Amino acid sequence: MSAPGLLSVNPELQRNLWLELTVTRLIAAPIVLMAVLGVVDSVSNLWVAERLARFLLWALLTLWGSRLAAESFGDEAAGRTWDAQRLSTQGAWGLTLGKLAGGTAFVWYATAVMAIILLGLGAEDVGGMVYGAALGGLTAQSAALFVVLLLHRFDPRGRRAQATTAQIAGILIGWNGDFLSVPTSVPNLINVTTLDWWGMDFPAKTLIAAIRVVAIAWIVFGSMRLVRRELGHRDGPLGWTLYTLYTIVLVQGFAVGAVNTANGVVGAAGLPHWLSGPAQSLGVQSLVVVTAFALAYLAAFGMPVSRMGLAKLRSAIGIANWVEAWRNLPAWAPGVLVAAVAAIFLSMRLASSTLDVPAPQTTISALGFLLRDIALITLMRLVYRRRTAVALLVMFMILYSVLPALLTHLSGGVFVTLVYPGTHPAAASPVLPWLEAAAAWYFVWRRLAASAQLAKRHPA
Amino acid sequence: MDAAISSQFVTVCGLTFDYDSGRAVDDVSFEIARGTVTALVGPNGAGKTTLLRCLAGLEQPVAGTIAIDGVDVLESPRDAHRKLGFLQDFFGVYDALSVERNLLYAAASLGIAPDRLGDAVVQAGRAVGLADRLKQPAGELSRGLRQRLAIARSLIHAPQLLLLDEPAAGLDPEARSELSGLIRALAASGMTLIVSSHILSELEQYSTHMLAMRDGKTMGPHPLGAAAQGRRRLKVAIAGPTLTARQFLESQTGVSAIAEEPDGLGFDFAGDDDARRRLLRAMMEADIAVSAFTEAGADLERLYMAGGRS
Repeated sequence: MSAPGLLSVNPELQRNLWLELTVTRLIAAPIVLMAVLGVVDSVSNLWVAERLARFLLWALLTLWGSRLAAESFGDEAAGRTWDAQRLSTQGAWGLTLGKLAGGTAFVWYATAVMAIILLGLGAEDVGGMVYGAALGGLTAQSAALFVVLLLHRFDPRGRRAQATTAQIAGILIGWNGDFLSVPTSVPNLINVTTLDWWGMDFPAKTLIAAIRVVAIAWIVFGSMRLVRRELGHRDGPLGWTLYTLYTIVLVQGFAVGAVNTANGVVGAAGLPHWLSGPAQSLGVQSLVVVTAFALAYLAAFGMPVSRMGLAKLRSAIGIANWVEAWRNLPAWAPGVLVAAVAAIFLSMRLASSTLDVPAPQTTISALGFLLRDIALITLMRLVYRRRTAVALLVMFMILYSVLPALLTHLSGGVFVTLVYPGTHPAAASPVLPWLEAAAAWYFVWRRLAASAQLAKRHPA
Repeated sequence: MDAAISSQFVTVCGLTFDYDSGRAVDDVSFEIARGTVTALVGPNGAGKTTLLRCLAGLEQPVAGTIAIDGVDVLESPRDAHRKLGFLQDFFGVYDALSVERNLLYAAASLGIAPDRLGDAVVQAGRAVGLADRLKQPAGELSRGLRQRLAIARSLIHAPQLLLLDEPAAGLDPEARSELSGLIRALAASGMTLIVSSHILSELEQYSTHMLAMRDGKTMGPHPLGAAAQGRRRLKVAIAGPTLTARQFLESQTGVSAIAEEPDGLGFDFAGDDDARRRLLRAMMEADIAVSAFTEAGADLERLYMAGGRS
């Protein structure tokens, strides 16, 4: 496609290609790669050259690629050209894909060149080698772009350090992409060959690879949502809600059916006691609740609090403007709703179970603590506008470490139920956690009162 | 460009913006008419840049509404961007790309049709005097030329509203003069401009209105009489009594609003540079003891000092 043609389709992609694929680079890459691999092949053997090629592919696609992906946005913010892009009429998808594909174009070009050289040298399984490196690299690159965009939301004035942090995060996530498909990692550890998901049998490796590809798609989608927000769109926590639902459906799928191991189809009977029959089903059901809680906590910690957004939310609720309320709803809110539904469902299962399981009310108590903790995170972010991460760390260390130890020492465990859902029988009562949550949210509501008055007087 | 005349081309109502450190824009409301040039003046930290960023849809206020030619900037920022251009107080150009590619990218990203990209680049380059430097990398341009490139980028989609934040900052006198000429030309073409600057004498040359800002509050916009009617405020310093000079000026056509000033007289003058030169020569021939003859940013400056500061 000619430059004007590509410019009209995706200006950001074309701009990045101008910058990344210069004539010098296009000529230098094959020469350097051919020289390195050729020399190694001639002085040692193909085995060494293949190992070197694997390392080079990782270095190119993951190490360098994640840096380029992070800089594709970080450099714009640092060079203050991001504002010009925000002033354009480009869409969020165009900008996201333009940065991700265009900003990393050179490492993909070098990868293609390296694959051709390896084929020329007679290396085996070049396709598999490139596939693995490409999947890891793509994960790292998309994660780096997502993280740098997220860090920019927390601190728009942050510059180079954000790109470095995002690169490190990208490398870590790309290094072990199974992190993104946790549910499928568990059976992988016990030598599973096929997986039953929603009553359908899938080859384990295929399902894991598919989940990983979908995870990459989710990261790119998340980046697009962050870009969209940067462009001034306020359309609520739709992205995180969809991701939460997807994850719950994914995990719930493993609550049904049997698991096959490499030793043959053994189903639930071949598994340890704690992971078989009703216990298996209940265990996965608990995992659904834990996942929902984890996602709600992740959203509360991982997304900045917008005082203006909360004030508008408060004002919108006051005048029953639900569309405006949804647009200003924090990302954790739908996650909490999903967690509540999952917790109620689990408590019903626990109530009817004949196994030695925790009291059904425990999950409702846990939900109260979740709401309290989110209110505390919100309050801390409203009160402390700088070094919030440190303040939150200190607060949760006190809440979940120092205070329980102190209360255990003083009361032998009864008062620990004031802090988190422990094993003491008194922990089952949901009254105290919900009272704590109500008190914490009252303080948040009060804190937003002045801003909400303003938002009500001149609704934006 | 929409030919319909609207007296409310830009409408701001109850705009309030908070930073973590405090309130930057405080319940601001004003209207700006189409085809005007509004000088946004105020001391450092008054909230001028924040206000312009809000107008451009780059910041989300805590409260208020902004409409540009009927488009709600906060609800539909992308639609508003088709109607406005924003030159910020930094260049933000891609140094590694040529002038042509910078402009091609800007044109495409602002939605100009592929078959019009080339023409748009040439026109924008010509408008700012960069037509002969299209192949030159932006990083090799002087500060003044980079400023022109940034302006060309803001203008390439023929916006109806142009926001300029400290456009003359860091420019040498020659570049400033060229910039003033460019702004006058844009104003003459019917474009609505809002220009933020500390240099009142320059703003005086092309502004029709003044919007003063202090501590997040705005005053105005006030019409600038002389500028609005094509007149300039001049100041003549007289060595000795001013009575003769005053009587002489009163007899001259195009002279009005004569006022005593500490070391001479101030007056509005309707005429071009040549008429101004003829007036000075006539004063010299009339044996009036002129010791200085300068243009004064009096109208805007007086308004700012009187109203903007209060």
